[in-house]
Amino acid sequence: MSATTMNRPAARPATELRPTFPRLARSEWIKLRSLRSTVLTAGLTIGIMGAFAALFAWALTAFPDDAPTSAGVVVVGYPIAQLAIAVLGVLVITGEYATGSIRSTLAAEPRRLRVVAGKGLVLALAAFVVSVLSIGISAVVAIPVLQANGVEVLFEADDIRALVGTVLYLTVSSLFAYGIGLLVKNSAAAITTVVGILFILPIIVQIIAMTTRIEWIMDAYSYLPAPAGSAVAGSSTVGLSELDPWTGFAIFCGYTVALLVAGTFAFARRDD
Amino acid sequence: MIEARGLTKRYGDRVAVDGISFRIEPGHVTGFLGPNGAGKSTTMRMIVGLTRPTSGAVTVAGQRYAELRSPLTTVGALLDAKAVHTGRTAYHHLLGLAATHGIPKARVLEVIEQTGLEAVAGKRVKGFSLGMGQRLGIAAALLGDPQVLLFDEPVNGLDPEGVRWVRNFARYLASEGRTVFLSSHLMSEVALTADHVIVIGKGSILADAPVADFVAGAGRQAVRVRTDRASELAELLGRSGATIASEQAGVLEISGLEAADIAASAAAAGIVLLELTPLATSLEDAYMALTDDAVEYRTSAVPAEVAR
Repeated sequence: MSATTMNRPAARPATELRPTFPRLARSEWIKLRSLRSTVLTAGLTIGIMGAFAALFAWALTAFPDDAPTSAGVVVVGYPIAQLAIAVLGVLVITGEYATGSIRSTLAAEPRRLRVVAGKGLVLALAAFVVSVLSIGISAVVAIPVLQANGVEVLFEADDIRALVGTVLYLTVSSLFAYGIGLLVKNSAAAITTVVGILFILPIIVQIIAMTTRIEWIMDAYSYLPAPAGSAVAGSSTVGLSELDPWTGFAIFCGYTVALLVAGTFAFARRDD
Repeated sequence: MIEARGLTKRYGDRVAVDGISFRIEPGHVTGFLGPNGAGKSTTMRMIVGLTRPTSGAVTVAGQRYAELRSPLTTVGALLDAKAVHTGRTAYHHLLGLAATHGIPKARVLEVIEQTGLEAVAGKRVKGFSLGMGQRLGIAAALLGDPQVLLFDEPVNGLDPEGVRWVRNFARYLASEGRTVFLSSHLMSEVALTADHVIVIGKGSILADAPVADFVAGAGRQAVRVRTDRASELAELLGRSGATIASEQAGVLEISGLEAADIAASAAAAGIVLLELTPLATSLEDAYMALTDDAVEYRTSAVPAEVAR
């Protein structure tokens, strides 16, 4: 045996017990799936999308006008479903603060940046799967109804983009909410903030814009997180954003990244 | 082993922990004793890196907690029973923690059995009693089979059977050569469980000694003597440097001399002693004497007759 092989440190067994990123992600997945709130918010997201799609399809066939309909019609429930999936994103972190389990989490993995990343990754994957299921179920309940009633359903590039875009928009919405949860810490406050920014703020700005007719306020509306992000979910049937779909979505992703960076910074510096 | 050097934590103007230093050795149960608000929990949280020290440092096995290669297999901490998501089952809580270190499921089942949680492991923690919560916290601390165990107020809310279980368990873990650091505000608990005691009050260490030495050293060791010739005896013993108090005619409380020496002096002078009683100091007395000035929240004194 040569000196080099003798000096080589003994190979660590694969089963050495210590934290690694894949193990942390697995842990976060176990934690996510073992909560009722996860099942509830995921179920709500899918249920809302499916119900709205079915309702809208029924309305189109009940009051037919001979115009063809975009396949994007199936995403019509996204503004409401977005809130459900955002609650999931908030609770991933605020639920740990509310119950104190954050202390167990950080005792097991004191490297806080990894904790933020692990949670974010698992949330993003779960939200993506939920969003795909939402769109899939919405399509299944809506499109056959439309076709059976003689409504022509379009599957052109823009229609497909609306479907893919909605999956991405819902997924990133959960991360947007996660960023706010990291910053705000308290479940009720974080959920209120998310609903305020995504749902209430556009309405208020729109009212002000419509009553005052001030041009920059009218322009600013499109750049708010929800109106910008939803551009990617729009089609000839649903949505009315003034921004290019991918530009709008990129702006929304920008807001999300900013929130995640600020939230990670706050979380890493926090003393608890 | 746990080692703190100049460990300090300030919250604004308030000093929670004031430059404390200590070493906690393996193979013993070390009690961490102090009134509520003395800085026990803050110190415990600094040990596991949940709270950042303002200055100074504390290490476990020679490293800061955040630098440990494998935190859960090095240190097991029960910081408080509520460090669990109440919507999750006990089993999933432990499984999630175990997963971070690749600890197998078999070990999760093992600690569930060890802490007597089999019957409730599948239930959501929301419905747990304080005692079950403590057991779950201890189960979590044991997951990585660590050499260092921190238990912050482990007997809080436990029934007598549970208290005895924690006491025996802590002693058993120490007998295996582990470092066991257990905080309590109950002197009796520390007296029964710990070999060594660190007393903290208002953020400073007041005593760091074996439990027996603490009782002997911190309190007054006095001997009560009853005699008809009290003043004569007092004069005699005063010359050998004893401190003498008398609350009652014919009764002296002498400190600084052993009972045998007092008896010998009295016999040599031909003084008949009617009573010679060593007054033992309880751990409680020693603790009260020590922390009297360090109590953060004081209740008004109860008249002595009523208190007894």
